[in-house]
Amino acid sequence: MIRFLVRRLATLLPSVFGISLVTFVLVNLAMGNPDAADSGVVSATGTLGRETAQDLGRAYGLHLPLFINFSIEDARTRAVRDIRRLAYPAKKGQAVRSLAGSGGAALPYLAAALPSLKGDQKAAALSALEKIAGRIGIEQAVENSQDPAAFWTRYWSIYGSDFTPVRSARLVRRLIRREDELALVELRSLDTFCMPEIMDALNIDLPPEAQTRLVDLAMELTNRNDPLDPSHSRVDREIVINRWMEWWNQRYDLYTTFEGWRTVTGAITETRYFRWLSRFATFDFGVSVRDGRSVRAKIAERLPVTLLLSFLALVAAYAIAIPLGVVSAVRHGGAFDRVTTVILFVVYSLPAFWVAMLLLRYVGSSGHLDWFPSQGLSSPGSEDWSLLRRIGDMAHHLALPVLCLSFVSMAMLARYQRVGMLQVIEKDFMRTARAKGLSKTQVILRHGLRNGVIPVITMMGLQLPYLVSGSVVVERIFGIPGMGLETFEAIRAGDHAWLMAVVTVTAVLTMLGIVLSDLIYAIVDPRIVPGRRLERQS
Amino acid sequence: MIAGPVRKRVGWIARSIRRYAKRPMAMIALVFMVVVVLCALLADVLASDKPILLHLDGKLYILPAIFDDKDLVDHDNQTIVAAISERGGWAVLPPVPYGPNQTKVDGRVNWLQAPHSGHLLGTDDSGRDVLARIIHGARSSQLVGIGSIALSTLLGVLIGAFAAYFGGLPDRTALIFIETLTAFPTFFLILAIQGLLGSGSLLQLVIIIGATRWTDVARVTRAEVLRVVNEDYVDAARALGLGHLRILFLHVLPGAIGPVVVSATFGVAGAILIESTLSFLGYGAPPPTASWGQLLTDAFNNEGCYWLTIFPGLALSLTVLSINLVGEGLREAVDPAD
Repeated sequence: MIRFLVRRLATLLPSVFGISLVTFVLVNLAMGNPDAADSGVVSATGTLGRETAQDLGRAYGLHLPLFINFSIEDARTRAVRDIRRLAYPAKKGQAVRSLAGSGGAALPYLAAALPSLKGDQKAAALSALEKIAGRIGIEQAVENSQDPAAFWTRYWSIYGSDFTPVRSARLVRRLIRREDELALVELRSLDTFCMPEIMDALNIDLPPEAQTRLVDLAMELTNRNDPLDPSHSRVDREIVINRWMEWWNQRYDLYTTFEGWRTVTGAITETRYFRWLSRFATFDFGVSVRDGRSVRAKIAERLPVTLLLSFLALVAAYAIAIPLGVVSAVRHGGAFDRVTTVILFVVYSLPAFWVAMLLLRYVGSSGHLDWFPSQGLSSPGSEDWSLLRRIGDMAHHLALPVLCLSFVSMAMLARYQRVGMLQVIEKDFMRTARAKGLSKTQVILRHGLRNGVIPVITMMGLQLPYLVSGSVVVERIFGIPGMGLETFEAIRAGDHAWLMAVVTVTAVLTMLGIVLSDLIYAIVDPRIVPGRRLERQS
Repeated sequence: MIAGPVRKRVGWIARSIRRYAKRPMAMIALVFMVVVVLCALLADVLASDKPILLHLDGKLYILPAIFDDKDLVDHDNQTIVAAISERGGWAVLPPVPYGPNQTKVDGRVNWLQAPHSGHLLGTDDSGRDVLARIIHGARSSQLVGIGSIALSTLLGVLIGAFAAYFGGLPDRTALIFIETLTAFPTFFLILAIQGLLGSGSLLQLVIIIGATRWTDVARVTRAEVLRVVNEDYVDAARALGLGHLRILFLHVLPGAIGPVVVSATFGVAGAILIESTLSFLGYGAPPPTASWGQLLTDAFNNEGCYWLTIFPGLALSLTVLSINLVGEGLREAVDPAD
């Protein structure tokens, strides 16, 4: 059985890869559409309102090539390119702005290249350096010097050795330990060069004061205004840190110089698809524009609700469908069989959302018969009730949603159960069992049911996508806070991060569900040789 | 060899039609379907704010609603009738004398009126006639249902047939692709794509549904082609030296098409349900396109208006039911063994 499971999981790998490809195409489709990109930004007036359309593109690496990157861009290549551009009058202005904006991260390359530059190019480089000098607090010294070029050459020969990742990491550690003014001054003089180390440090669990010191410094260096208040709750602080990490994930290549292996592996890792794959593999889908919380945390909160709903619907569908199908088959051609066949056919064709509305109107609390509560998962004030009463309350709330979610599956399964059972009833072993003296009920239950139920069990995996899909409408109508309702709201808010996440997560979960149902199939029908590839009937 | 009595050979299509015609429920459903499709095609004649024929001031207008006559832009049936009684002339009014987006009758907006002689099925919360919107809603629903399934059948037949006929790597690739797409909860996927692309036109909906729902047809086609490909006549065709494409399209596929048609028919019902559910959530075709799902949204927002809930819901349910019945009839007609 374990070998079977391992093999089955191995056959999943291509499909999981396929899912990541499909969602990747979706990302590019959505981001390639200017309307969608705009709507995402316009509606993001709340927490991420400051970020621009370009940032949204950066979130999915739209500035990177699709699959292979032959010319990796990092802080170094960017600075070198800008320095080259300084020689051309038409591109000079933009290059100066770009260099000055990069600040300390570009300084090592600019200062080192300065002696070899001539004429206009040198003048432009100096004007960029002047702006950088303002950032690192030595503008006074530059102004006082007779020859700025000579000053920078001297400055770089003295302080150039300070610009190393090891040193900035040490300074960041000092700042984390205590309010170290000296380290702060040193870090400021490194400017954006120390951003990678600051963000690395923010990624680990730190005391709130240390986090605040780091965030304050990062704000100062990048002009991104997103402060952290140490007195806030842990959750609120995490939201801020998440936003910073998301921001960093989108533009670490602007401040980092790739060294060693990363210059080689970058050909693969610095691509659009790999960025998406790494998000996909870690289920890290960034930050929701609706409330600034990480999408992963929101999914962790919403998913159990939808899973509970789907699971109950699945159980309900099988619990009704199997007896109905068996009795229909046993009384084949009788009045019961004919009536249920017609009813099941009609039920199968009913739109779930219409039935949900009718139920809500006529037996829910908004109707004349106030039999069922119509909104949410629990009654107000139920937090103080006993466990048993709370479970009862939840069941009361879930009755209608589960009914609406399950009836289509139920009708379909009952039809298949009837057909499957009819085939079994005609088998020789059934007659043999009857002949050896078992009662009719015993024959049906012991010999018939076990064989007749197999085709229906194999369909369990196929039910899952239906149930998850159906949850959107059911959750919307009954106001249940699950994945479906959140998706409904996310579309309205242009929350692309959530949409991508939900498509990916539901697909992967369905995949696992299908494996699980194959496993149940193998348990119910031991004739399946473990490890043999399964042919599911459609 | 003894020659038997000469019998007229009857093809499987003719046999299937004969078997289908023997099933009364399937025939009723087919008639209903034809009516719905006719409603969709003739929506502008059945329910319109312009007359079908109009003779006014010595000029004859034929179907002014369709040909977008400039003279009548600011007029509707009610003002035209008033004009006729003043200035003379005659008009043939459509059976439902209201347009799907006509909010005013005689200069008044009649919000949420219950069914009465003026509006047989009542009005919605913008004062539009519900019957007119149901008739025009049939158009959206049939367009998306039939259009998207035509697209997905084309895709599914091509992919399924090529996979099964050539086997090996193409087959395995296609299977992985099918398994991958099956894992996506279809409605979630379609909803998310609609959200990512922003709600566009009905055509966008047709393409999205068509591009995501071809897996069922591909699976059926693949199974059928695998069955047919081993028949003797295919070997014979191969022995004659025919090309692969010719064998596949002229000899293999015709023998496999029955179950594909059945699967496509059920697919239309599914696509119509998807369209109406998307419209119900507000992410279908953009307003003011009339759609059954959008009518039901009005019903959801306006408690106590039974006519908004019942009639569009019935239209939708009966259409889906009859398509499923047609599909069921087809299945038994094509494959009597089942």
